Amino acid sequence: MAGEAASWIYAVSFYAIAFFAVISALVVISARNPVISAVWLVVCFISVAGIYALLKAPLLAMIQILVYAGAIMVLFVMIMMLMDIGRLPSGGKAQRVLRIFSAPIGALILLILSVVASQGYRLKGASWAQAPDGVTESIGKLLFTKYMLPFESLTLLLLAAVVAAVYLARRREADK
Amino acid sequence: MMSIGMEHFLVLSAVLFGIGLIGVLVRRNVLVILMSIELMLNSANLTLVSFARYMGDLSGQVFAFFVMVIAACEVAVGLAIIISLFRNKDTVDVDRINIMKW
Repeated sequence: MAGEAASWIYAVSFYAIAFFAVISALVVISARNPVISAVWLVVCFISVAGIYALLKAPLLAMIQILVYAGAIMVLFVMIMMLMDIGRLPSGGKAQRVLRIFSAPIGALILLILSVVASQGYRLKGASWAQAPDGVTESIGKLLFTKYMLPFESLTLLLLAAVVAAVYLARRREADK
Repeated sequence: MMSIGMEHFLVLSAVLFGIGLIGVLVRRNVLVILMSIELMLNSANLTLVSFARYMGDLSGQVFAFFVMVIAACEVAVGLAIIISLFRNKDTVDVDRINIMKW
């Protein structure tokens, strides 16, 4: 049956992409060298883009790759290039006691979230079958009609962030 | 038999969020903490998009788009703060950034 084969392929691709996403996320938080973390973060972002594609959101998948895997990661890598990470001294042991507890607490929260999420949702009047047409045109229409105000506020926020980033990262006269 | 439903996407998103949270709690390098925050934002986006798919409503995708913009702003400002910090304190270790602690 064609439908069954399609759903089988869908399931296999979901599990493969989810596996890549989780493994790369684990490498991101466990790698000793931040550059390795950055590279694996790209893998994680691209996997999430694949999940978006499975969720019938091709526009978001493309934006995810462009903005996250492209722009944001280039920013990270450039900053790491500017800072000489290798010669940094290792930190003190001030917060060691807290850190012993932080990993189990984080794992506990992860477990609780997963259990809650796995319970399934039965929302009124909604079903998995009715997919939105995730085409660019309908998203663009929403952006410029219903969500006009948030969209325009975001442009202001971007401007503020650009000004703040330039101000914060500038070299002060006293530093020279 | 192997049908993928809403729960699968939500569990994946919860796991990614939890990994990001553990990263924020455990790591000391500010850069890695910022990357973990990005992971958490990504997982929230994933939840938004999967609910958009489930409800048949594009608003979730629009808001995921907004969250991406916020994340880009956050990274730009956060990295600028890290650069400034590195110039002044010569470290990216959160345990050494205790100037505002009493």
